[in-house]
Amino acid sequence: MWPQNFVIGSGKQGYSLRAPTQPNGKDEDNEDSGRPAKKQKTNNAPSKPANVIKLAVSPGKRHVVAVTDDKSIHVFEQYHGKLTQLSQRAMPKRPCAIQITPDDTTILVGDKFGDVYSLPLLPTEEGDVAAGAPKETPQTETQFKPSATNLTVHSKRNRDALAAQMQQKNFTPRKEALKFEHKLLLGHVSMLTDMKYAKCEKDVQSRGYIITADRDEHIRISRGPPQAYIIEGFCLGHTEFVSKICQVGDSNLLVSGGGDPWLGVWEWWPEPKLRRKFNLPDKTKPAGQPLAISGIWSGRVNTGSGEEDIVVIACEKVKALLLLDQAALEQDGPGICVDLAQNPIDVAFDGDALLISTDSRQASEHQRLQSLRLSKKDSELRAEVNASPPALKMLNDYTSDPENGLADKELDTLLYGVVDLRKRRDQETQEAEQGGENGAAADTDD
Amino acid sequence: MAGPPKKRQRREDKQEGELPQKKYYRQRAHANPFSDHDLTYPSSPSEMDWSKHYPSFIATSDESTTTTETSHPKTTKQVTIADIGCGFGGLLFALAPRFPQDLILGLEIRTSVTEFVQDKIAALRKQAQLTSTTDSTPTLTNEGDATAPPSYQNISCLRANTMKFLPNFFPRSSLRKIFLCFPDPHFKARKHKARIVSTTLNSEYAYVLRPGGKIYTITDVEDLHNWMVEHLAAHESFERVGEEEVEGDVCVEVMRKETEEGKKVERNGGRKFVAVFRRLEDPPWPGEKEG
Repeated sequence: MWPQNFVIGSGKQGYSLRAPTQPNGKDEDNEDSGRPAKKQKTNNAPSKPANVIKLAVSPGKRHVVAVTDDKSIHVFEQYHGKLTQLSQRAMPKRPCAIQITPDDTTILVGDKFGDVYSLPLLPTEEGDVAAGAPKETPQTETQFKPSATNLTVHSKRNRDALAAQMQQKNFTPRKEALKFEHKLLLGHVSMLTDMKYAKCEKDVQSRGYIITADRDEHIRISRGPPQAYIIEGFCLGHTEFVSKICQVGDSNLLVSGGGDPWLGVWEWWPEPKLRRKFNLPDKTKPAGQPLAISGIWSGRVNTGSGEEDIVVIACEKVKALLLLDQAALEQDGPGICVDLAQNPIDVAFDGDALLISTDSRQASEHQRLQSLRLSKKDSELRAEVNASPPALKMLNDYTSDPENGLADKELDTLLYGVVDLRKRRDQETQEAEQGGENGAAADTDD
Repeated sequence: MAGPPKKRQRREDKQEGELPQKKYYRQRAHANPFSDHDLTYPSSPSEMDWSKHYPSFIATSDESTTTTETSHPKTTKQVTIADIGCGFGGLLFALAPRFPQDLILGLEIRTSVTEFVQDKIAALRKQAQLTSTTDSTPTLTNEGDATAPPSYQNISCLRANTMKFLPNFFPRSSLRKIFLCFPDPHFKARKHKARIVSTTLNSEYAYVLRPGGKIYTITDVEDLHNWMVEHLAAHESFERVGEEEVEGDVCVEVMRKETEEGKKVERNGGRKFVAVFRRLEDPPWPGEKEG
């Protein structure tokens, strides 16, 4: 088993997990309320356990939220290192980003369809009933009424289609609405790639924002709930997909990256402005495939000469990490490149060290996690291999059940999907453009 | 592919200033707004070169601030009226003389249809130039004054997928009117996200519209009308404009009578549903006072 995603929980223990439960069943009772955890139907066959694709820890460190590739959001309670699943909710589209708001009450979820939803961290019965959860609403068959009329469609084919629809007697509405409390906050008409909840201090007030990135080069700044319908601005300038965005600490700096050979360093607040285009050093560019930024992380580190926000960047299938300090973010510092033996998959900050999970297929079994100690010497950032801390050793020693392992190819699609966001600009749309030009469906007005 | 090139050739078989013919520019009425297409769009509004679209509004060197790093020439005005899904441009040509002080832009996703509108604008500008050299020179007149012959210098058209790229063209609060005339109804429930009006997309319209600006919708599909009204009304940045104000609005009349689809619906005896919404001021942040 290869940890794809990990976080630092309370204390100094790292948790790695995959396939927390079978998709349907094995729900454990929540001892606090005495009621069973929510059951949500999933389409997957029970034989195949779902894989964890996203993981987030609540700011209060009590809850862990995991997204599995069957589009489900699992909420766990963490107590002395033991996780108990409290709820499982199936989203309409595959979530691509997840975060718990600083007040520990709300999960924000961005999905592949471009929408951002908010869900209560701990669902309440009342909220879910209000959202349409009750069991006894039978699916009523409604009389089908086409919205087109003979006045609105004119071509022969469309008229025929309308006539056929009129013949159709009944119409069962497809189950569509989510059966648990949720709110649609905002949406892009594009594939969403990342989403962050960010705060900034304005005078004495603290304002919350939702920052979203999409495949069509946009970074959008919206107000946080309850005013998420207001767009405050865009960070525009990327010419390829944006795959990752990251607020630097709690500052007004935002680092973005994707398919462009540079990172955007933005002042995202109060007026979105590009501060620096940081050209990626060649060492961080992949050799055999197009460039794709697969991770940007930020953490506050005590480098020995004071606290500083450090940003870490990974490119897909590149055995290195790029580290940026304040000098690189705010002035024209070069940052540093750290070579790794394997592809980095995820990164977490642990005090003044970096924890890195790597693709351990590329090395000996006990190398799936490693740690780098960060320091500064003569105002130059340094990263040195950290002698295995205990938590690291524990996780590296852990062996998973090979039965549950995925085939190489499956793992590749799970771990290295970012590059597929790149648009293929040459062959696209030929069909859409030419298809109907002289076809039967051509415009009929004159 | 014998069809298109022939058509394309025919398009060019005309005198300078002669109006293009629609039959050489036909294109399938639907486009998928989710697909990537091969679109050209600026990475941000400041990258957009409007001087090619509105050449008679190019700022002279002392008018433009040359300190900015953008290389293209500046225009003296910015676009304030957008016709989203302008089709064959009927509304644009009708608005041009009525709002001579505004730069008006038609946006259309279909290539051939966009080319038709561009060719027609070029032809009309040429015609206006020819007549103006023989007659006295017309000057730009006040809003709504249609006595002077239109120069069509204030309208233009470009190909765009506005559902994805509206903020690439227009800065915040830059528009005062947005038109959504006879949009694709996308009858199937599965396709409703492809509709031009949705709660989430309305936030982008609110972003580019200035407070007090208006969004105009018209359709012959009652179901779509109800959908657009429902979704715009549900958005907290918009309020519906009262009937009296709507009926007194010259834009509504133009939208009903001068759009190509409006004329077509008229011929077929269909009904037309109109709704106008006003962009409200953004409320103060939660817990903060105004100002």
